[in-house]
Amino acid sequence: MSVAWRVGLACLVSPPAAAAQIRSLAFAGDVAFAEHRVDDRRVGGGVEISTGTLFGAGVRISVGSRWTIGASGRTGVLHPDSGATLPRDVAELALDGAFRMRDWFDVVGGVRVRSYTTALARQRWTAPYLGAAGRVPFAVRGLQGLLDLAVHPFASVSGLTRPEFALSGGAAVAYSRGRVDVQLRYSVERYDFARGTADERSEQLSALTLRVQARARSGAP
Amino acid sequence: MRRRALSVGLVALAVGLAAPPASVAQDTTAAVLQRARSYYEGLDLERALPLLRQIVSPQWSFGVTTAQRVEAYTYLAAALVLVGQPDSAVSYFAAALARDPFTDLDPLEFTPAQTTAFAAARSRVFAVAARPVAATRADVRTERIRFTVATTQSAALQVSLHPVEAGTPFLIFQGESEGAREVVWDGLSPDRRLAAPGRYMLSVVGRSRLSARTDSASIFFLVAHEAATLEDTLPDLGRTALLPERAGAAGAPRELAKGVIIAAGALLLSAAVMNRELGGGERDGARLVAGIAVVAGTAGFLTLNRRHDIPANIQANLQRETERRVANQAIRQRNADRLVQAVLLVTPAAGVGP
Repeated sequence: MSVAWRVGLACLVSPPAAAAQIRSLAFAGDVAFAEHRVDDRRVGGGVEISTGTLFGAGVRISVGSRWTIGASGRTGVLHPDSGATLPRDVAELALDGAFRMRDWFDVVGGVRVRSYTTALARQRWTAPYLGAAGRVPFAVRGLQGLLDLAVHPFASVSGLTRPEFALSGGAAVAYSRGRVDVQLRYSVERYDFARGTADERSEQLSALTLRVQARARSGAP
Repeated sequence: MRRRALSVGLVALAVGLAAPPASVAQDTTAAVLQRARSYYEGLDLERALPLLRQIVSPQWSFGVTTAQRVEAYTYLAAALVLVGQPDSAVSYFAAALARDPFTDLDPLEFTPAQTTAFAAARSRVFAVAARPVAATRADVRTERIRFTVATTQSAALQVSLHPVEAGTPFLIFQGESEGAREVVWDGLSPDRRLAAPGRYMLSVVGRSRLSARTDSASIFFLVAHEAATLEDTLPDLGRTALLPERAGAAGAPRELAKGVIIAAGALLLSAAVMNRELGGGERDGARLVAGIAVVAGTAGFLTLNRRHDIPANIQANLQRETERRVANQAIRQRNADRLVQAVLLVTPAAGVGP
């Protein structure tokens, strides 16, 4: 039985036992400067661009020596650049997991549930993902670089067929001092729907995120 | 009978024509001298005397060394004493003494009459001599170089050494002497230094107390210092023999590569993953992250590349220096021991030069 299952079982049966398995606990807050672009040929309005600031928070726990589990959420408003469309409220919840294969390499997976809400409609995204993340520690104590790449093969969007191509990735530089981690991350998500057809739709969300994380219990970041 | 005489004459002619080599001649003198001594010791003086007279005669055609001549004179004089001709005996003893002042009679072998005649001969002849130096190796810290000199009469004797090439003569003996005596030299020059290598002349000058006559003799010898084979000290430890004591960390360039990897990742995401038809994509954000990553890599490079001491190498170098110093100290001590041995090699020489 894996550690994650043991933790889950312990949470149900005995919360103190589950707490004993937790090696570190961290709380994070972030602010993201996001840009959303979408081009839907059915509508034919060209590329719609929305930008805005998203605020988020999350919790992350390290279980055993290899597992990390996190939950996060963020929300904000993306404003259209030229008033062509309505503002979109964005809300997202994510459940992430990572398994440390090597000191510098993790396998990551999880699911993100996101909604774009306008005055006219709401669109819900559900995007399970699987990917890899690498850590590159620098010689300067506490400084490290991060790269990650994930595919979303089972992403689904309400009112749309599954995207044929769904990929996300990020590059970050993080600095840890004491119990506090600061991370600046550039990320991009790309989704292509019905490519080469009259219903082709392309969508991407890019963001520059500043994240601050505080560890409540000892352990590696 | 005539045939026999003819054959003897031919043999004599052959002997006369064929010049005998010097060694053969000396052997011949030595053989005759040996025969004469045998006759003398057998008191067959009538046979001994003619043989001895032949040897000392100017007509003796074979080579005669000084020692052989002196021996012949001595035995001739001793035989003459025994046959009652003491005056002639004294003359021959005097001749022996004139040629070799070291000549002396052993009282156990010669009669009192003979020794009396020899003493009378001594009073007639004044001569000094020095024996040739025997090849000697002497550590003058503990050993001495010995010369043997002789006077035939009681005399005021001066024995001095003259460096032939350079330096001033110096006395090694001054005093009264009679007969043979040993003169000791400590191997030092007047300034109390080890005698310089080179050719030396031992000069013996004597003035007879009896006859007020003066005589001198000299011999030559070479002085050399025994070449002490000295060890070379170990050379300085050069750069190749020492380990580097300061260095930057080997992984410093890797830090730059890490920064470049993260920067490339950020730029690649904004270029390759981004949908080009949509454009945009917060590329400034990607550049910002890339720039920070490069700065982080550079900072890592500078951190690791900072020169720092390598304690293990410093310790190893100290160890090598110490070992070298100890080894050189031992070598210097051994060399000093060899130099202080001060061994003089003395060998006989002929004249003032080769």
